Amino acid sequence: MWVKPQEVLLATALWVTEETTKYFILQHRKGHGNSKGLSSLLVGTMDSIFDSKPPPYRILHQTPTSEVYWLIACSMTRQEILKDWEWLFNNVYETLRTFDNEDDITDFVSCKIESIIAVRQDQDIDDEDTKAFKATCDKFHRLFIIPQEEKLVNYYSCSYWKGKLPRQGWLYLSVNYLCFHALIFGIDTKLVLRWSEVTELGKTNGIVFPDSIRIATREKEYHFSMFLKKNETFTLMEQLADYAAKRLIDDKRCFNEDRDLLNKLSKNVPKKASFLKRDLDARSHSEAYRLMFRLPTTEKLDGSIDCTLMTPYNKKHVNGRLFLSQNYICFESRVKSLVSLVIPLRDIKVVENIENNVSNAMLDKAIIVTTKNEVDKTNFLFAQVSDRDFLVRKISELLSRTQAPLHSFETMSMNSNGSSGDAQSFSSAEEITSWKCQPPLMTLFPLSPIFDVSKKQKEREKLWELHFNEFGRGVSMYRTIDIAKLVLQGIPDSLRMDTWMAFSGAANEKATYPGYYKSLVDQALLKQSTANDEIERDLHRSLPEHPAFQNSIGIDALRRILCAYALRNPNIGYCQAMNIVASVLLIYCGEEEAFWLLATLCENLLPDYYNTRVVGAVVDQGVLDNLISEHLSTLHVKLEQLGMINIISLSWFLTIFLSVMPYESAVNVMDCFFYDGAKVIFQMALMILDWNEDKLLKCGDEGEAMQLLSDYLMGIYNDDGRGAVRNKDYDSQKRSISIQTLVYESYTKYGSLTTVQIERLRLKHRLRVVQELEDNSERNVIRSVINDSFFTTHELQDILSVVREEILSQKRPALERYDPSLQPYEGYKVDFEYFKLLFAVLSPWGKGEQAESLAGRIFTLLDENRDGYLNFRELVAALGLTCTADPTQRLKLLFIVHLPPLLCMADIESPVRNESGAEIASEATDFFDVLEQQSVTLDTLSSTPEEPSTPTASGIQSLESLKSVDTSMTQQSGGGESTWEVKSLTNLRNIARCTDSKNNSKSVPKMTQPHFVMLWKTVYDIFQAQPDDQDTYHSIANVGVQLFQLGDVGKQFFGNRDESDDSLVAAACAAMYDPVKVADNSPDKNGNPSLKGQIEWYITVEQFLASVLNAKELADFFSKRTSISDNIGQFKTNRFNRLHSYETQSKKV
Amino acid sequence: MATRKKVLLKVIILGDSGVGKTSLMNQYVNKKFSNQYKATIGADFLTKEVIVDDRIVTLQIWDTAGQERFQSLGVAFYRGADCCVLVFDVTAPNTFKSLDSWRDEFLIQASPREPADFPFVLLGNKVDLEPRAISTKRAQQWCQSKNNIPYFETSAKEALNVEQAFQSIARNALTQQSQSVDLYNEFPDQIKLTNTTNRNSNGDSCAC
Repeated sequence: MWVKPQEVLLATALWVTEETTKYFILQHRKGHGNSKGLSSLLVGTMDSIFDSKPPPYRILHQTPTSEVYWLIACSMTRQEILKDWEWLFNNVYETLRTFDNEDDITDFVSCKIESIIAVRQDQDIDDEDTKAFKATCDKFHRLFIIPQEEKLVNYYSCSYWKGKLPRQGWLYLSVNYLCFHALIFGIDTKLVLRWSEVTELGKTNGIVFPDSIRIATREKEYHFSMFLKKNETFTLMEQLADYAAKRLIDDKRCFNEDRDLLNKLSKNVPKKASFLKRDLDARSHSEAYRLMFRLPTTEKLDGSIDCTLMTPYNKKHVNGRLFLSQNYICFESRVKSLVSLVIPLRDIKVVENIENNVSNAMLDKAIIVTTKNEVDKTNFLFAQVSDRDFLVRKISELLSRTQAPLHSFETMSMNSNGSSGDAQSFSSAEEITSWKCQPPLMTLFPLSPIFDVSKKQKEREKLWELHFNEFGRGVSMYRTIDIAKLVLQGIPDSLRMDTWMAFSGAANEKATYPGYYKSLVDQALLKQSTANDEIERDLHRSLPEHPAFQNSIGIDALRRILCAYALRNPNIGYCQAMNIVASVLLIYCGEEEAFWLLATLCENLLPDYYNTRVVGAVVDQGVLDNLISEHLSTLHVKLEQLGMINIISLSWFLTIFLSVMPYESAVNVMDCFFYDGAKVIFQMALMILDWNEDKLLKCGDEGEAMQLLSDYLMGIYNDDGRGAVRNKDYDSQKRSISIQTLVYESYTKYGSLTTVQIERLRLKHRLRVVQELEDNSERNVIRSVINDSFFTTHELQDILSVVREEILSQKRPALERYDPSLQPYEGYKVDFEYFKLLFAVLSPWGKGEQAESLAGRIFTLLDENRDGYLNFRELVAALGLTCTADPTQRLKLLFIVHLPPLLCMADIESPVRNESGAEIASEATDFFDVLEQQSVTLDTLSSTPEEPSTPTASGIQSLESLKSVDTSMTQQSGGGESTWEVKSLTNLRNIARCTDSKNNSKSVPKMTQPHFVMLWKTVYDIFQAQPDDQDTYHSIANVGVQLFQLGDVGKQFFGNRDESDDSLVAAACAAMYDPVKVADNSPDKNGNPSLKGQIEWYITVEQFLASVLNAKELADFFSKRTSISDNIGQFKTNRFNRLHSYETQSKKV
Repeated sequence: MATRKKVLLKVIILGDSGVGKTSLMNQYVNKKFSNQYKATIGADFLTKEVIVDDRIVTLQIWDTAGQERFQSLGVAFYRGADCCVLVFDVTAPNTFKSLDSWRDEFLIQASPREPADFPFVLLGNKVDLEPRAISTKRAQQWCQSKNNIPYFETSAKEALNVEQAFQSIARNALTQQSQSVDLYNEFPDQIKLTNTTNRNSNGDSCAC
């Protein structure tokens, strides 16, 4: 069986060679066949330990002078391997003699084998994971008690260094976790790490941990070694960690399997252990493909195939590889940067086979691609396509799907929620606003021509025309070294637009979504948003030196593209620097083109740069730091000393030098940037520093160095520019260097930087930056609640870490976490389900049978905005008030949560709690339908009772019963003002949170008998969970009796009672009894309802406090400071159990 | 009369986008106002030599980006600051509201040893414009609540009070610098700071 050629380092270890030829080796594994030596036995044992059991026969390929062996075939049987061996001799061996170069031989063999695999796999497409893999999956879930929805990607044998001892075992990599398990001499070693905790990932080779992979989190470092497939494992780890990091940057990018992608990719990709692994591989292939040809991020690689391309400009056939994705055919020559080609399928008219021509072997198995371009009818000729029919079929299939440009704009909008509503409104908007796209502003505002410059421009335009005639123009030109040379010189002004559009891929976006820009602008201009306000402020601060922006034509166009973009991509909105970039784009490009270039720039070329935390730019600062230390190590030391790197690079990156150089010079950098991608920025940055190295080394402080660099940059001149700057003080400016020289030098000296290299560095820094941002936001959160003084910083960190854990494990989007307009603690929220768990584990009140109902009422009390979540501050208050607050405050809380409206009569009266709760709930829901959902907060609660986020069981019960009251009252009062129960809840909340007990005790409503009974039940319940103690029970009973008597005494004062607080209570009670009746018969002004006698019995909070605090045992309990950190430690160790039980629970439902 | 040695003072200007930080700095240093400034990306800086109490002082004024999303990136610029100038626009209430957050963020990121004593100066800019949204009294109250920060109402456009404000800034920074030898806790780059303080003490010994 042929396999995708892969490198094998040790050809002889564990294997016995049977036959060798000049290029191929046939081997069988020790322990197989006839040999029965000791080493064979050992290998057999090893195979069983490692669960590796590779097929026992294999064929390797090797060229005589190469160290590297390539595995090209393996088999379970001798018979099969011999068949392959024979085939090699009959079909390949002869051809190999004709090659001169050994690398070519290896390439040829690889291609040949891969194409065979491709053909074979066409026949058996099977997406299902293998049985063995499924078994391992089960084991993985069982071992680590991880929920079923967590997908295992792959597993590898390796050893984990626990202390100084390596433990041999299995490493399991899943979408969110890295797990390790070893069982040696009966000792279990288990390790579970979440990818989003990983701060660093690297390969190391030290004395202590030889040849290992190192993984660091905030707390700890982990080392793994003895990998069988170290590189594969590491790449996968990188990929998974990167997904986790990207998810932290942008929650919408959460991981989804892409079945679509997988089906397409079933060809050419050898089958791996798991479905997901293949999925991930496909993703990384697609990413590499997109990077190589700078295609939109939605482009998915379908497959690739070796062939030749006829290059008409030199009448040659170039060896290379053809790539195919939904919207493009691309070609890249095998010799690096000899020629590449991007053909949008949209431009293709037809793809045909060419009949084999015996006389011309070069044209064997050829296809011809004809484009729609009417003028010069461009054809592209690919030959030697090994699997021609399949390719043509595939292309036609894709072509049939791409015929019509998309007209549905909603699919395009990155904001999936909410945009659809707006989309319908734009037809009316069209009538209101009338505007038209501006042509390139340089055509409307020509700068006074300078003769020399115009002449030069004309000459260069001619050169470009010549080039276009020979190599084609637009997106699908033959991209060769010649065009690169031209770009380096600077693109003539008149050609910038088309060339930028072609190179960046923006041309394709524009063609795919005709009319999109216009409709977006119409919506955007009508919108009120912070982004639009920010844009307005910066319109005149973008490129004020250009006459186009000293007037409404330019300013309006700039407003339109920025507002449109803010609407298109709410993750970015508007970020300063985009205005500068956009204004320069508008000078050279038409308005719509400028918009698409801006979009491509923000989304593909500089990913995450402009988002709300400028993550991408910060990541690239780290990358630049690395590159400087690699290339200019002496200077790096100095810059680090001055703390300079982060100061200088931000504006360089964010504006692509436009804000630091005269823009007419910086556009030449843009030329290269659109042609070559982000690496150009690094190249330029390095060159600028390189050039100034000596002077920088002499600088005394960062100010001096900054001045030096900024003078240098502002002095970069461009004699080929039209001279916007020249009109004023161009000639009097200190000139430092011409932009052409700088660009040329940067390519000569640092042109070897590759996009791949940069991506790798970005990945590394992304992990770090994201974790730093997380740390930062956590510090902010803790700072924002520390003044509530319930817990110490350390305790808060612990609580936050469990909340964070929960947020990460949920799939709900937490975008508001970074909403700058909110308080930091708003970002970390828990729903009732989770609060219940925390309460049970952390609070001393959380142990009894009533705990859940108690938790529900505390939750309701503290959920100030009633969104079904406690934000971190509220959570801290909820835990603090039961764990660490002073005893009066704790008891007050206990008292309050047994008052209406938190504890309602329905709770007290019905012995079968759940039934009545459900009944009330359904009544409440009915009510809502009638009321047209007046109350938004309540509506969210009632409409989604099945969601785990809303309190369930008795928690729901209390909420729902609240609601039933609430609605009836809303109806009564016309819904205009906030209802009494909201008021009283707020009132109670303030009392509960207020620390000054003396002043506010008076305002606590009095408690009626049934409520007191419930309160006392709760007290019993809380103590039931405590260690058995006769004295305690004795005093509970005593205090209870005492309070009962006190309540009776209160009866006689009933008539004289004063003030409105009580009327609230009374009304509440009344409402509990019969909401409908209350609606008819509201209580009178004094709040004396005509109800039964329970009201007459009451106790006050002072009485309650005094009695309870008098009993030593009770006072002790309520004064004891609960050590929350210990409990959290426990909670964390049990978290997987919890996840597990969560899982089974939800299944039951 | 013995000539004292030069002192370098680092001043950071903070405030919301569009309140006129760049204009104030340019008005002070270059004595001109232009409505042609670009939005500041990252940071910009200018230096100016001034004489404060017979001493030649070099003010190194750092102008920062105002947009919210750049606030947390300030740490690179803040280190070694001797004085922090907070600017708001007297016609835009929001810019006044965010002063607290700018101040807190600065103190957190720069972490001076005595946060309570660190010299701040508040400038209410654009007093030439109508209508006023923030009264002098309100601004002064805020200043009082923050340990009596000096407050100036300026107009970068009309060069109103700018000179006086920066004089006060320089003086505050200088007092602060000579009072406490070590303004900052544990900064990796103490080079600049120790240099200046050394110079400082040299200067003092010269004078004796």
